Amino acid sequence: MVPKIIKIQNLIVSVKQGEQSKNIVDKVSLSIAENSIVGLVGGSGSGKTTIGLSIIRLLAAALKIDGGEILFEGYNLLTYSGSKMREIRGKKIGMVFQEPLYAFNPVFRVGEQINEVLRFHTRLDVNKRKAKVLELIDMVGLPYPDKIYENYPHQLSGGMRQRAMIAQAIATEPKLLIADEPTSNLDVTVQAKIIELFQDLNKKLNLSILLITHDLGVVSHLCDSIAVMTNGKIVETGKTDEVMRSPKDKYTEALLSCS
Amino acid sequence: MLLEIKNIKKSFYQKTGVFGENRSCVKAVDNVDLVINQGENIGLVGESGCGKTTLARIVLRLLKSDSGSILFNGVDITKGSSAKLKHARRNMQMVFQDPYSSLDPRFTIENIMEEGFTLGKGEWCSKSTRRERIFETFAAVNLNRDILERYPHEFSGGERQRIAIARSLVLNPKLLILDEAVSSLDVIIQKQIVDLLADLRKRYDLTYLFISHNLKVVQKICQKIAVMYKGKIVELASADDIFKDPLHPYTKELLAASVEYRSVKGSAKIEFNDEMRLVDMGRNHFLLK
Ligand SMILES: Nc1ncnc2c1ncn2[C@@H]1O[C@H](COP(=O)(O)OP(=O)(O)OP(=O)(O)O)[C@@H](O)[C@H]1O
Ligand SMILES: Nc1ncnc2c1ncn2[C@@H]1O[C@H](COP(=O)(O)OP(=O)(O)OP(=O)(O)O)[C@@H](O)[C@H]1O
Ligand SMILES: [Mg+2]
Ligand SMILES: [Mg+2]
Repeated sequence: MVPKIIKIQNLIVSVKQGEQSKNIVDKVSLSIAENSIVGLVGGSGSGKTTIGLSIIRLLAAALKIDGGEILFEGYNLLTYSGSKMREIRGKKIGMVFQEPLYAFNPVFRVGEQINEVLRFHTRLDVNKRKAKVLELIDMVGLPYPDKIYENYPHQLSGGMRQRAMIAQAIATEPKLLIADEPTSNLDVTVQAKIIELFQDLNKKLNLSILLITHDLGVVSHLCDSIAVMTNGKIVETGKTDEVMRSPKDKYTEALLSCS
Repeated sequence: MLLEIKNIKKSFYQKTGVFGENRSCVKAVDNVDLVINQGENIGLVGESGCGKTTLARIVLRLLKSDSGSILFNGVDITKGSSAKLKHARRNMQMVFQDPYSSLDPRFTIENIMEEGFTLGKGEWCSKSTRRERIFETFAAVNLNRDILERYPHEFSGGERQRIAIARSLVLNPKLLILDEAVSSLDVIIQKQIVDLLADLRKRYDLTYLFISHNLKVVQKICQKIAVMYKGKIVELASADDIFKDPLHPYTKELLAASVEYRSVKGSAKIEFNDEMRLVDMGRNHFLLK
C-alpha cells in the first residue's frame, strides 16, 4: 500500500437550519496517496469546499463536524487545538480558496500579506523573504512582481488575485495543497502555466494536491485519481483515466456526457 | 445599435516605493471601440488582467473613463441627465466576476432579490407578483425556493453565482453583461444556464456581453467574439471565423492552449503600438494592425 498524506474517514458535517439539522457532508471517506494529485469534482453545492475547509478546520460557525476523522501524517486533525492548527495551516497545508477576496485582507498590500505567511512560518530574514515573495509572484505568471507586491487586493484583476493567492498558498512549500477552483478565473494560456507549476511542484517538492474543480479537462490532464461528489456523498472514486473511460455511477456519467 | 462604445480609455495610476516617490501607470483600457447590436451576443475574451472587467464597469458607469463615450440606444450615457442614466441602468444588468463581494453580506437573499426591482418599481408594485417573479428566476437557475431567509455567505460558490444571475434577470433587461458568470458551476448546471440564456435571447430579445475564459461556452452563446490583449481589442470577428481562421498571434496562442493545456513557450512575438488600428481584413473580420 502506498502511504497516504491524508486520510478522511466517515466525515460528517452538518448545518443547522432553524430546528432541523442537515448533513452537507455525509460519511465521506477520501484519501490522498503521498505525492499524488487527486481531483474532487461534482455538483455545485455538493460539499466539495466544505471538505476542503474541514481539513484546515476553517468551517463557518454554523457548520459542525459531527463525526469521522481526518488523519494527516498519522494524526487526527480534528483533535488538534487552535494554535496547533494555525501552525499546520499555511506551513504544512496550503489552501487556495474558491473566492480570492476571502483570502486577502483589503487594507494590506498583496506582497506584504504573502510576506507575512513567510514571517510566521519560516526563519528567513527580511531581505530573503522579500526576494522569495517576488520569486513566488513571478512563478505564478504575474507581470512586474515588484509592482504587484505593492498593489492592494482590489487593484488586481480577478485572475491576478487568484494567482496571488496561489503564490501565497505555496509560499512555505507545504506538503499538501488544497486548491479550490484555482484556475476558474484564468484564461487558458495562464491556466496552462499554473498546471505546469503544479506538476513541477508535485515532482520536485513532492507536493500532494487535492484539486477541487469543475473543469474536467484540467482533471484529466493533471490528476492521478478522481473522486466524484453529489449531494454530500462521494459516489465514485478511481484512477482518472479509468473513471473517465468507463464511469460506473449514473451521476458521473451525466457529468462526463455534459462536457 | 444597442450599445456603442467609442474611444474608451482608462488608466490607473499607482504610487510605489516607501514614500510613494514612484508613480506607475497601467493602461487598463486603451482606446476601445465596440458596437453591440440587439440580439447579437458578443464574447469578450483575453488574457487575465487585459482590461475586460474594467471595460464592463465603465459601460455600467460604475467607473469613469478618462475619455470616450458610451451610447445606449443612441443616447450618450457618459453625459447628461440622471433620467437617461436611469433608463439605461434599468435595461443594463451585470453579473459580477466575484459574487462573494458583489452580494451585500448584511442582506438576506430576499432583500437582495427585492433590491433588484428598485428601478422597476412602477411595473412591479405588488409584492406577490414580485415574489412569483423571484421564484421563477430561482427555478430557471436551479435554486430552491427555501433560501430567502439565508445570507450570501451561507452558500457554496456556485450557488452564490446563481443567485447573482437570478437577480440580474428579474427586470428583463435588454443588455446583460456576464463577467465569468458560469466559472463556478458544474458542467450540468453550466449547460442549463447556457440553454437558459439562449432561450431568454429568443423570447425577450435579450443581448449579452459575455466575458469568459471558457472558450467552449463562448462558442455556444456568442455570434461574435472580441479578443482583448493589454487593454486593446486585437481581433473582432464572427465566432466561426475566430475559431476557424484566427489571425492575431495572441488569438492563435489562446486557441492552441485551449486544446493542449500547455503554455506555448517563446510563442509568436506580439507587436504593439499606439498607431495600430482595427482593420477590416474582409468579411467583417477585424484585426489590430
Ligand atoms: N453557513 C451555511 N449555512 C447553511 N448552508 C450552508 C452553509 N454553508 C454551506 N452551506 C450549504 O452546504 C452545501 C455545500 O456547500 P459547499 O460550499 O461545500 O459546496 P461546493 O461543492 O463547494 O459547491 P460549489 O461547486 O458551488 O462551490 C451547499 O448546499 C450550501 O448551500
Ligand atoms: N482599482 C484599480 N486600481 C489600480 N489598478 C487597477 C484597478 N482595477 C484594475 N486595475 C488594473 O487594470 C488591469 C485590468 O484589470 P481588469 O480587472 O479589467 O482585468 P480583466 O481582464 O478583467 O482580468 P481577469 O480576467 O483576470 O479578471 C489590471 O492590470 C489591473 O491590475
Ligand atoms: Mg465550492
Ligand atoms: Mg475580470
